[in-house]
Amino acid sequence: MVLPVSTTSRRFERTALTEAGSTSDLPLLKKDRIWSFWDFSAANIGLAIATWAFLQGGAVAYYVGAKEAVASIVIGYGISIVFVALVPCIPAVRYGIEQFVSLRSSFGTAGGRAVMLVLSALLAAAWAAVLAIMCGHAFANVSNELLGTRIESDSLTVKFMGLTAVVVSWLILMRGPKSIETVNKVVSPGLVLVTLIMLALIFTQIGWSQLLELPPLAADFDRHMAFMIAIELNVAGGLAWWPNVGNLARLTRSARAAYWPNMIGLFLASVIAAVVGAFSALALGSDDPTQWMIPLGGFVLGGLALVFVGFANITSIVAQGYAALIAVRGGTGNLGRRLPWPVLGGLILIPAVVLVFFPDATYNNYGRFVSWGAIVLGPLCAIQFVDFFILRRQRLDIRAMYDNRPDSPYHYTGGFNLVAFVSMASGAVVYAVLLDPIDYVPVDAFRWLTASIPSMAVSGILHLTLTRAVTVPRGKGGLASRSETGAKRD
Amino acid sequence: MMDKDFRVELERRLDLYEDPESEEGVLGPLPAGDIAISVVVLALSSLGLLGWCFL
Repeated sequence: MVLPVSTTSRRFERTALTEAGSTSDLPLLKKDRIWSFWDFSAANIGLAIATWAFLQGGAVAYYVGAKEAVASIVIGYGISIVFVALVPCIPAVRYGIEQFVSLRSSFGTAGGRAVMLVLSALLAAAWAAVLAIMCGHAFANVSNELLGTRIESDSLTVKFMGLTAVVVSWLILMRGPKSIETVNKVVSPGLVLVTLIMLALIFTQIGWSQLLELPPLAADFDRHMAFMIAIELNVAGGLAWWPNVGNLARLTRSARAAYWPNMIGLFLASVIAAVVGAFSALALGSDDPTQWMIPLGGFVLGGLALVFVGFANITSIVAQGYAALIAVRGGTGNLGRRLPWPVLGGLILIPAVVLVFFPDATYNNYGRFVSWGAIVLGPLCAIQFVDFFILRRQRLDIRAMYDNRPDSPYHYTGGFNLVAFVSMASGAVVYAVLLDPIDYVPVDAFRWLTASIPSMAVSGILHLTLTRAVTVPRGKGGLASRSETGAKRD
Repeated sequence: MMDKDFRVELERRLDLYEDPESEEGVLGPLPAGDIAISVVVLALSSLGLLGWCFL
């Protein structure tokens, strides 16, 4: 998005060192920090008002009505986006380092690489599949409404359209960051417009008082439990931003310019888009965003909006794929730096190609899918928060971050900080006990605790305790000396 | 060649970060007050919304 232009002749070449200054795991120089507060805010708004916000709103409306939807979206996103705005962004901007590099202090030189690689690749593949199928649904619905066809949600046509969306995303990704920026410049304002038009149509056609009376899509949940599931969905939805924001925040010029745009752009824009999604779902009785446009806007306006949303899914796939591509390239070290963009992009999108052939199983399980991400991302955020903000007081040894030798402070045990991995696993177990990730059924304690919040608390407290009891006495992690280099502007 | 270039450039940048005379270096930390303000605002908003929903 902000990277050097990839010209046609260089498209298939391996990454040049001139690009590495701003795109790879090298620490950034002053000239590379090109984003102001408002530049980062605009990028975040573009990222937040995407088709996944409509999916999120639709999922929330499944459990709660309009008032509770607003409250659960604000509370859930509020909790998770504070963590997402802090833990991947502040280390990355202070030291100008890639997000996966910043993980080395908490998970080890090899552990940080493994965590970033696995999470980025899995989340990008899963999101790409969900969004590609949504794209297929959009075009199937346009065809059904305008041409009178009877394309089913799991038909071969939807699978083919999903596959086409993945291939087109790969083609855009292959052309490099400049083409991503160009596409986003058209799609982001368009999605803002679609969101505002949808909001206006809902209020003119249904009205606030009638909206408040509409029941949730699934009326068979008790109100308290349904509200807590909605909060959990939104905590999980906010945590899903984790792989995307750190590498963007590193391009800003101060810690404040890396933090507050997340709260303004990511939080507020996500809340607005998800609330519009929830209202639309309640008003139209469907949690599938591709079912909303034509009933709301009519054949012409709704049809156009639906086609636009269909294409907009492709830009969301590309944005997520790009973040994963950067992470995978950096995380695979020399091998990744040697591979051309098209090959890396293809590798990232291959799992999505498989998943689009199971459209109903993938698309109809959005809540479970977000929950699977939160099982790992919640504990991960808590561990990073404890490591960087509590144990290290926002200070890292930047030279040690790039030192893979066994005597490096961040080498821990064979390159892995076992304390962090144990803490993360414990948090994941707590989550799974409170909310079964397979059938998405909560236990009774969930109605007071949710699953993500206790899972994060357990991971954070365990990491703090074990680090003080085990890591520090063993002289690992660079915590005893708490060395810092070059903090000239503190 | 690429990997060697990468190491050389990395060393150059780390030296710049550690050189007190250089313009390059670590940016200042996020003030704790900023975190506190956002947490307090979110907590108050959450309480307000809960009251609006359930009272």
